[in-house]
Amino acid sequence: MENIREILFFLFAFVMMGASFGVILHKNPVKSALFLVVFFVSLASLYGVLGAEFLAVLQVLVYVGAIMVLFLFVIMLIAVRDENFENIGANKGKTMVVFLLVLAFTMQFAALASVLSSDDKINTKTEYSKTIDSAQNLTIEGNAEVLSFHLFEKYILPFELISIVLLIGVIGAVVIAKKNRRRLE
Amino acid sequence: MEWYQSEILWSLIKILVLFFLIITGAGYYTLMERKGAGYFQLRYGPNRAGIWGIFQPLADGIKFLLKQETLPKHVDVYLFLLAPAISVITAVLLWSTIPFTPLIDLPFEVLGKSQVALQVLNPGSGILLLFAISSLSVYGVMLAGWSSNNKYSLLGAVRSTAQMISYELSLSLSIIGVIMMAGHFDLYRIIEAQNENGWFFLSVPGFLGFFVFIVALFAETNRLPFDLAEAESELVVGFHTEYGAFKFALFFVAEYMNMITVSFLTVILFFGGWNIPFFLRDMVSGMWWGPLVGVLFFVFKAMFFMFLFIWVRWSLPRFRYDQLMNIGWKYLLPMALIQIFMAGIYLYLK
Amino acid sequence: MITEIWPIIIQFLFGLGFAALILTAAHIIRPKRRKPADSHPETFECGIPFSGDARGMFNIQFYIVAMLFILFDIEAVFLYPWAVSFLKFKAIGSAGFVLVEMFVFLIILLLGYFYIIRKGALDWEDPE
Repeated sequence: MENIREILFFLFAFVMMGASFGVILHKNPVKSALFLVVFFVSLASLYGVLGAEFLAVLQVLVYVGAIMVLFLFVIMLIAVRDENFENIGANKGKTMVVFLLVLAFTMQFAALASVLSSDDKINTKTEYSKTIDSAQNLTIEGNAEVLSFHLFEKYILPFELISIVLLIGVIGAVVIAKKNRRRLE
Repeated sequence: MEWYQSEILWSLIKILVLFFLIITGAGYYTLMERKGAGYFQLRYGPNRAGIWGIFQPLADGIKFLLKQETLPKHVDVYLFLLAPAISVITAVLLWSTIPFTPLIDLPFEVLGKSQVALQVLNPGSGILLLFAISSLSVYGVMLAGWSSNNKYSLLGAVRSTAQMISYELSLSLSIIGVIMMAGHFDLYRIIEAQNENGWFFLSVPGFLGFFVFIVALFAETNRLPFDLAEAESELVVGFHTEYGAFKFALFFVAEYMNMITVSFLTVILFFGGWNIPFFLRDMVSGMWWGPLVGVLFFVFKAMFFMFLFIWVRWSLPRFRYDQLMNIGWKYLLPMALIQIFMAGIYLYLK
Repeated sequence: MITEIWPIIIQFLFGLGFAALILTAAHIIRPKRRKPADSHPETFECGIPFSGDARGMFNIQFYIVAMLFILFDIEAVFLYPWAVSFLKFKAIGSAGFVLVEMFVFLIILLLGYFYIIRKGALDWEDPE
């Protein structure tokens, strides 16, 4: 079973690399954004492989489910036509990029080979449970609970500050949008 | 360990069994919908293909398969074909997280196993994984609309995306109360928690959460009164205007699969899943088929919600778009937040 | 407690295989007309010739909704770990503290929500 993890790790690493090249190489911005979606999903899967299940789910929920939707909204709805992007990407740049691509993939293969041949396996055994109250035999288990016991007991101030950051974000979004609308009218 | 005892083979078998059950269920759900629509409108509904139109889903399937295929000139071919695939893949992934049966102790061995639960994945992050997957289904609609390069499709897709993300907010907040009471994301353990404490629907925060949840579900699955994505009177059929034959059928299958999944999900979160009513509990305890009786109740409860989708669709008119967004942001969202406050205080005092 | 990820991958491949298989099957089985009608592959329009394409600009309201969604979605994300371990916080006796902590968080965000409502950022044009 450990071996499956190794293979999956490198599978997703390859997909991520391919997708990130897709993001910068594709002419059509909509498809670039879609490659970014693929990238985020495989990043989430990578977290899943490494045992950070909660983080994986949140990665998909926030980045793919919310942020990329906004990106695609913006790109799709400002008149993206294929012919506008024909001339982007000169040949010199392409050669360079292909060279880098080959280099990066070779490095991946080297890393894969070295890991598979050595005894140093990827460390997926992190501590996921700990006893919080031995009298009542209470343990916290799973990413989410460990996270919350850190977040809500130890890092209270940063947590409350996050809400202020979000508040500023809300106000900023409204102010910017409203300003533009007034100018249009 | 013999080769046939491997976990991979087991999950493949489960996937195939569940797929067969759910795709058949989806087929007959369409029949139920059309029959229901018929009776709501004082007509018979489909009644030619077999008695009560029992072969209608089969006939529909064959018809979809034999339709001439069209690939419009203006479309972005790859994305055009990818969009229905995304819809169906997310629909398939969604039902894989639902526990359809509890762990049943069989009196005999199947492939060297004597304990079986009909659930493909049992993630610790159950309900969150489900929401994460369902947030991917936005892309099917969005890409279908954009790649079709048709104004109706694009309008339908943009409306639908904005609607889906708005209601996703209320949906994900409305289950906070349930998670707090259960103390787990795991759907299996949420049912177990209700086994001890009674249905969450009957508790204070669960009651309010349920109403927010069910309204948001109608919007998430793009059903009337929130079917602004299709709005056939103004947008032809919205985001899948350019789709025909089996490409359209994939959207269709995905929609009905999703409705089945969310019906089961509603029962799991608020109505105790496969819990057996108290008067039957003593009668079946100790029998190995006892849990199967629970599964029967589970399916009946889910079927009520499946019927509710049809009932509402043929009873209510469609909202206007500004009304729809107002309901989502100005009514459901505050209600979901109140539910969180209530759940916190309720559990603190309890 | 750590979930294995490979069942999800099998399920994903299964869904992909199903979609690919069914589209290929439909492609093979479909009746083939030697020459489809000229109007067949054209963009759908209700009986009149189609003009332009569907690559226009959209109402800014859609972007506002998407932006606000991100912000409130992040809020929901912080609620999940809090909700799932609330009973355990209660068991060790710090439920009241954690409850107040989250209420402060939510109330600060509610200020933002009231600001949005006051400014009318969520008001869609009323057609009447």
